[in-house]
Amino acid sequence: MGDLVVVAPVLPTRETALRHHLRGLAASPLVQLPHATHFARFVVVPLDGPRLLFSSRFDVSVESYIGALARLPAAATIWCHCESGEDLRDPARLSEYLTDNRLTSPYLLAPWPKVSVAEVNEALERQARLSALVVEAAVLGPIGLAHAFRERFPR
Amino acid sequence: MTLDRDDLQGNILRGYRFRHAGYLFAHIEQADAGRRLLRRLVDSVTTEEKWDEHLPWTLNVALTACGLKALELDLAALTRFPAEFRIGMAARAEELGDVGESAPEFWDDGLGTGQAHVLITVYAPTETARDERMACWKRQIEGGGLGLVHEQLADGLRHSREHFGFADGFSQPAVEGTKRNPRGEGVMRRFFGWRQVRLGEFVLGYRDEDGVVAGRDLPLLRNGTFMVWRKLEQDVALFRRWIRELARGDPEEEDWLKAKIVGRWPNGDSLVRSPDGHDPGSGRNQFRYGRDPRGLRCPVGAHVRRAYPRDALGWRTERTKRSRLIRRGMPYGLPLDERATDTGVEKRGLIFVCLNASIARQFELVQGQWLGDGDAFGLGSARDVLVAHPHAAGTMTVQGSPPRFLSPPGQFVWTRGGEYLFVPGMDALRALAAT
Amino acid sequence: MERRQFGRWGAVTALTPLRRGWTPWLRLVFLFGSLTNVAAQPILRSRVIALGRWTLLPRAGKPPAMVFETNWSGAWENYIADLGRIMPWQWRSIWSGAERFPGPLPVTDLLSWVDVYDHGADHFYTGYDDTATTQNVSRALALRPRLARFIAEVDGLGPDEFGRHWRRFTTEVQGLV
Repeated sequence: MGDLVVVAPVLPTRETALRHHLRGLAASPLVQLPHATHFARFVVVPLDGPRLLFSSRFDVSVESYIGALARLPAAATIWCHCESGEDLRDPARLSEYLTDNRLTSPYLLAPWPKVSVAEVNEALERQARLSALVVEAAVLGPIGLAHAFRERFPR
Repeated sequence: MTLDRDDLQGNILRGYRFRHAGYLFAHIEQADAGRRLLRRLVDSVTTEEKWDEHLPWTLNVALTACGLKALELDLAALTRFPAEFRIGMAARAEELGDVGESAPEFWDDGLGTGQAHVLITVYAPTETARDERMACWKRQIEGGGLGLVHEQLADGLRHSREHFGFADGFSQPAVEGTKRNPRGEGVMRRFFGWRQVRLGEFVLGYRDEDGVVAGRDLPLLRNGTFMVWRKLEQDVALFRRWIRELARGDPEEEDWLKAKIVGRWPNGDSLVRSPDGHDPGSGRNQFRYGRDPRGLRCPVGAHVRRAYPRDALGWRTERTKRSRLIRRGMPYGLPLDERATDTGVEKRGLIFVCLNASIARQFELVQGQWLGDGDAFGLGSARDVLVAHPHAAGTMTVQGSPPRFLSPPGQFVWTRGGEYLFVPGMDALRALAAT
Repeated sequence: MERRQFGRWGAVTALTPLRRGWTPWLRLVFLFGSLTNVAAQPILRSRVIALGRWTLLPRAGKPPAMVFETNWSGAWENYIADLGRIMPWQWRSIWSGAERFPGPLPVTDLLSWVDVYDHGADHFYTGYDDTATTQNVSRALALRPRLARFIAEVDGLGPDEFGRHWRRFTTEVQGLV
């Protein structure tokens, strides 16, 4: 499990465009990451000038996540609105930039700290399947019920 | 706290016990005509001070945000009213679950369209007295810069039941300034016992449960309250058919199932205090769900438990004390014959009326999040079986050993119209009526 | 207008400048928090919060600013109001050094304060299924081991025996489905 918080200064002339771009994203670029993300956000915050905050909680090491993030073309499009002096379209540069602007959070609260996204989604799906079966059970006889259960929850 | 009873309209702190009500929604075409109407009304309004059971009839007045605009209320003042009141109930349909055939485009004529400006409510002990008053005010409304938008009659059923057969209206918040016993209906104290709910949760200009005096910046709000008025049609035949089918013809099982769905026995006895049957001496409002955390007596998703969870969300009543509602509704339509298997053409239901200081924090939370969703109670997205628009996967768990899982066959309650209104204090009403 | 609601999830990103001298105390509070969950018990028990993260943002020549990010299920007014009512001393121990913090109560003032300092999210993403809420996930995870045990337990049983085990099982997990 990993956590990442990156805060980078936004070019003053790019603040509105960046916010507009982020709010207009129809589909999240983070879907394309090979590693699952629990929660992530991009927020443009005013603090001694506009800054871009990106935070994420995910199921791999921070280094792997940063590497994968930096390889997303959409990520470069976002961070190119920030002050850097480098060509952030180069994944290696972007990776370095994200690492340089990374902050460590001294406190994090998570109700299921050791459970991956896949495990959460699988648990939800099994719960939904069981919920549907408990309703159906009212009209199934003993044979039908046992069969239906084993079909949906094979050993 | 000094309550100015003469400035407070009646039926807020103490409910009228009359069995017949009438609602007239009027439209103001010309501001002067609207003010004239209010001037004619103001001397007839029943206040908290004036109300007693010997009155031949009572009358009260409320206004929608469109009504305040039509009276040419100063824009600066109007913008100080809460946002949800200003945009109106129809615009909040999604949040309230008024979707599908309950959506505003299917509502009864005039309701939710912005045309309803003034609501005149009449209560009377007899139909004749009610009808006479209604006729009198209809004459005043028709023509001359005013118009009639909607008219609705309501009549109490025997034993104070509503159309599904349940005693209704007897569970109310124990509000400061009234004689109601706070035990079970007030706020739990930190260590022991109960106290009454602060008046400011229902009447503006008084301290609320947060210690704040809402409405203190705008004199127009003082001694006022916000009203939610909804016409809810009930499919009694469908509900009865479903219960009969589930109970397989066993009348005791029918009663038990209905009680589990609603959270009380039909006569109003609490399932928490009387889990196995009627118990006349049980003190039907003096209970809390902390005694029944798993819902083995009163199911976690039962209607009354959702509508007023008491201490069910933990931390005594800290998480629920700010979402209380004073309810003043009444059934409409003739009761369905016990033997009928079909609704027929006669419409019946409930005119739901509630009063609160904040529509968003109180009514909308109850309707949208507690009745319209189950997450707060650990029930996923399961909605209240009785009144909410049924979710495709909606199921009610009747906790027990073993549990039962109930899936409703359809929708039992439809929204046929509604409005958000402001019930002004008498001084405010006179100010609005002034030229 | 800040965006705080994303489907069933809410997102608050509150950025508050801190007064001088508050940071060392804060680090102590956070250290205590990471060693034991006792102070966070009310919020965890309420099964509303899905994430809470505190980060200190350095500022040149000034005390740092604190960023508080949180995700939860439900409406933000209820969430913040509930937190204010059930965790007042926890709020004070973290935010008393934050600019213009009015205290957790009355919640009306707290909500107004959060409204000023919160920036919501310009883009929010979750990898969880659409049915996920804090309550649902908590229940689904609690169901997981019980269901696994049940699957093993009924392996090979005849229909009648299965039925008996099923009744016992559904009674046990009725609060989790």
